[in-house]
Amino acid sequence: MGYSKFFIVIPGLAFIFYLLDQFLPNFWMTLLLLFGINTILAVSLNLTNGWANLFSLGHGGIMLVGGYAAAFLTLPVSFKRDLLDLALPSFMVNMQAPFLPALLAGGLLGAAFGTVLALPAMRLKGLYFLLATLGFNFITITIVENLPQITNGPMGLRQFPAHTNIWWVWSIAILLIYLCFRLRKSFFGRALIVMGQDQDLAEHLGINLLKYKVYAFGLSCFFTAMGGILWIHLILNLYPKVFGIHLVFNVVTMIVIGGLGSISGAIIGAAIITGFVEILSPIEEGFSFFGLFEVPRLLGLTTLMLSAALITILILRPAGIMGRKEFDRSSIRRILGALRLKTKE
Amino acid sequence: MSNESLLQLDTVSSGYGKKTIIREVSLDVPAGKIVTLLGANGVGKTTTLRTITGQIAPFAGRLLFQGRDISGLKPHSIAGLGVGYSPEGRRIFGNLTAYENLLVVANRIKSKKIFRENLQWVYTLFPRLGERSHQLSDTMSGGEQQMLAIGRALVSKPMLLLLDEPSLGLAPMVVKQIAETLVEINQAGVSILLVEQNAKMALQISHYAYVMDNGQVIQHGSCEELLQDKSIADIYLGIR
Repeated sequence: MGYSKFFIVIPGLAFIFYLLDQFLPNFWMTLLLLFGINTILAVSLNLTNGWANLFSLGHGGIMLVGGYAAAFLTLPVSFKRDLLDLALPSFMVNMQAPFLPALLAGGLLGAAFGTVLALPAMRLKGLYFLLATLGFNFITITIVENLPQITNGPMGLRQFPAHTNIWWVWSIAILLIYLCFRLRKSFFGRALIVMGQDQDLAEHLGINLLKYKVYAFGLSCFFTAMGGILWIHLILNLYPKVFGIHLVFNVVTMIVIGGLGSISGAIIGAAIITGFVEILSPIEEGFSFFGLFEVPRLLGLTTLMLSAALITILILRPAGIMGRKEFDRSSIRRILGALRLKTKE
Repeated sequence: MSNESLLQLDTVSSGYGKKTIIREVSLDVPAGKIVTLLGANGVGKTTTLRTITGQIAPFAGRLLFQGRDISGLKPHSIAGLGVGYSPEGRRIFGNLTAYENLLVVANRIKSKKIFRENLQWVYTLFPRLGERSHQLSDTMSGGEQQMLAIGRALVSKPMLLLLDEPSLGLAPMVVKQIAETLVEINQAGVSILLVEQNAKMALQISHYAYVMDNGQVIQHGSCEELLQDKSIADIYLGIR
């Protein structure tokens, strides 16, 4: 095997991306991109909340930080210089960076803030840690809203170049998924999982908690920030309010529905939530059913249905759809075996 | 006692918060020996172990491992010095397989070859683990889980093995089997500090014993001496 499989998989994926890019209708393309972005957010959140059992609600703040950092780099000069009067360093105002450096810069800044977020984890456990990270989320939003000279305050930023496409989103998503599956089988991933289960014992077995907590948060926030940047360059505006508890709740719902601690679960959860939100929100606005009758506006429908779905799944499968298991070769074999038994009967 | 001591506690006091649990405990684990720490419930045996592993810092006294003061070090650094720990109640990682449970410790071992040798050694000590290596450890029996907990502490080939109640909740047959394996481990050069309530088993395999009561060491001596000391045997060890 070795690395030869990459020579098949990568061109194959590239070909699929090309076909989708060419022939997929707009609505479905947007759905696919949102699914990809949600996958990035959910799988990276799963690193901390699922594996390491450091339940963070601060990832919205991380997306915000990464998003603004990238925005300052990718926004057109005319908008930055003429329409906004931001107190940014002049080199930042007078340049428009390509997407990749903006993505990396935002990601790295997100990772840096993630390590800051990991610091309370040294002293706090469980619910207390959760509250501290929630506080981080509120603080970042409040700061950004109250610094109009730098961030344009609650007015947010607009006129983003539409950089996000299937190549960026799904390359990063697949890279992240591959990375996580590799990590699951490595010392690093196992150390996180073990730390999540029994922190004291993990330390006795020689796992340096500080090191692994910082690594987990750094990696998770790097990808979360990139997910945020991709999202901004898809919806083409940036308001600090959007990154509040509502967004974090959505991503947490994804990994809880899918099964905390399962990579495949996070992907399944992302698919379900994306479908739910994107298909229900047009209905929420009310529409006319082929001119036959009017569907009234049902504001709040999405949130309601989402919560109902969450409750239903947690009653039926308390550990989430996948539990802590993964969908891999052995599960495919199991499913095939079950099918074969059924056909014999 | 032997002149070369591996672990030495010198009038160590320790506890939780402001509450002192163990007072001026001195004990000595010579290299290559099995030492046992006996006593009833709640006399500070586990607190002593927790102090040694670094989970709680001692209030006073010195903790020496190979002549080096280890008080105040983090648990993972103490583990890195060559102290293996098998906790009370096993605490295996249920959603990992037996093999993955053993791999957890492998972080510390840089060379793959040494790790494989150590793993092979653990499998020869506990053949059952080899047979069940790819089974989820939650689904293993109590005895197998205990073997796994001891095996996990041994994969890094520590110099000192700390065992907290390995006989807890196990059938007499399994206890006997584990006791025999402990002797085998000791013969391979690993010193053992055994914390036990099953005094009979512990005294059979140990070289030296300490008896704790109310946070203090009240008696120590070789196992024969302790067994002959009528009052100690009656009151603290439950052996007649």
